[in-house]
Amino acid sequence: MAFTQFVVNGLLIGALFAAVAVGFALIWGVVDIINLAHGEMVMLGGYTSYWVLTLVTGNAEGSPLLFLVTIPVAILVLFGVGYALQRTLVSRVIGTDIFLTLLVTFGISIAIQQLALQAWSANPRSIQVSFADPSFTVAGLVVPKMKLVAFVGAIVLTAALYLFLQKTRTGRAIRAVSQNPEAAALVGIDVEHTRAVTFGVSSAIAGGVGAFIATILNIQPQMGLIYTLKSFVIVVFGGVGSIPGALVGGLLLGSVEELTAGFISSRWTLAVSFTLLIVLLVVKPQGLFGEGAEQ
Amino acid sequence: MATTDTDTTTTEDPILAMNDVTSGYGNTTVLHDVSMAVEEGQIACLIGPNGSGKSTLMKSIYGFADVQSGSVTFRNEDITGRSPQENLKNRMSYVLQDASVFPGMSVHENMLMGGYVFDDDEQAAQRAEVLYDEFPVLGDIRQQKAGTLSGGQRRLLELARALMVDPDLMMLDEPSIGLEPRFIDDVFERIEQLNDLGTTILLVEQNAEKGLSVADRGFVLASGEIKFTGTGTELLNDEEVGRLYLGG
Repeated sequence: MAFTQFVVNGLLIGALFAAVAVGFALIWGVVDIINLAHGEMVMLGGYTSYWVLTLVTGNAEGSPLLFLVTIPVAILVLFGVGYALQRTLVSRVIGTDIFLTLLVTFGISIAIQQLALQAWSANPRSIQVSFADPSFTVAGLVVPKMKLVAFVGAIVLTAALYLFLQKTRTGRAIRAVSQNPEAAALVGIDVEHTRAVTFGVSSAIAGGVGAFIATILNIQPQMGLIYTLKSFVIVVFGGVGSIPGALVGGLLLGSVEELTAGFISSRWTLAVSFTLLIVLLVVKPQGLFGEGAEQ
Repeated sequence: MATTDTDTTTTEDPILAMNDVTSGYGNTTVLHDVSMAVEEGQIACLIGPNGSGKSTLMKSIYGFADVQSGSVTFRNEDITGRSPQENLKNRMSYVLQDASVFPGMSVHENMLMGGYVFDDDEQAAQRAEVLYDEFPVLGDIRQQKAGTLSGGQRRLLELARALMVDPDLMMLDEPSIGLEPRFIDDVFERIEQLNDLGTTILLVEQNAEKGLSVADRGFVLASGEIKFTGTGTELLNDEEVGRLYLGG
């Protein structure tokens, strides 16, 4: 039973990792950079939701409905942040040496962390969502209600992104830039704008997930790095450029981490995750869904 | 008899003209004071050795290269430095030398991308249906991923996609490159058909004899300058052009 409980816990948290990683994968695929500041978008989303709720209720506590209202705000704010970052900074290094792109996004990451530290201090914070009964039991398995809400929210965000990419004109433009930027320009797509929209959309998803994370874990200014690392593992694990791959990778990583924490120790979670990544890269270098996977 | 670059703008009212264009990329200059004119309804062919600036000339017209001085006009309107979006809306289209399909998208999605500037998916879908009638082979494989097409099919798709905006002027960069000989004739047949339907064609062609054989007007570019111009037949029969550029 303990094994099943850990897996359930892992799937619930893994969906959040997956949604963050999907945005990371999108930027990697379309803008062709590894965005080391992606985790900071999660952090900023968490703080946006936190402060909006604080503004309304005075103490970052509220009903599930009131909390959900803060999600679109976090999404909109982070879209703007991502769009502006791409237009002002990241666009200057696209197509240059990979180390330069890493340096710039690492610099952005540090700058955001330090600004957040100055603005909000290093004190961990969280959003308290009030449920009459915080969990329920199904077949002997305990399911925390807020984790379930966060799970559903993350799945909805991931599915929405997938549908956006497949069904909308802007989504097609994003896929076109991802597959062939020169041909995209040829057919009249504004490639720079599309890249900025991609950065904005990816940041928005990360921001929305950050808001959910603020309800089940603490948020603090230096939390971003861990989400960037997890995203990297998930994307490589699932196959670069594949949204289904990132989803499956996220759910797997969540389960592996919960099982590791439950049966060994939470200190070993990252070590086990990266070990699995190395093994997978040896066995299947393109990742689970890499090459030929639908964009 | 072919003439030199002093007579490159021979028509009074060309559909496309380059006037003393110097262009390149950033600080690098590739074309030097190039002037040329293409008359409406013509097939114009640009030939020249590798590195002579043929593709840069096309890109200078379409807004992919930096025009440092001079001007480009389309229907007597200055289009120098205009974006590809504006040029497409102005009914100019361009087929790149390198594979320019979207490999992860279906043939139909690629066609719809050709109508991206319409701002209306329905209009693009209707235009695609018209083109499937003209290119039945594409209609048959509309759900197939473009990345799985043969070289000839990809070229056809690129041509058809460029026709989505119903262009008055179509620019083709090396349409025969990388194709098996049996597909080359098909592609040139298509080009002549399009021209017969009223589309002005400007093409760059490494296979100079093939290109000039279908051209009403030809230009020889070398070291970023137009060295010779004349009708396709004149250039094909010119001894100096033959010796220097046709391997004759």
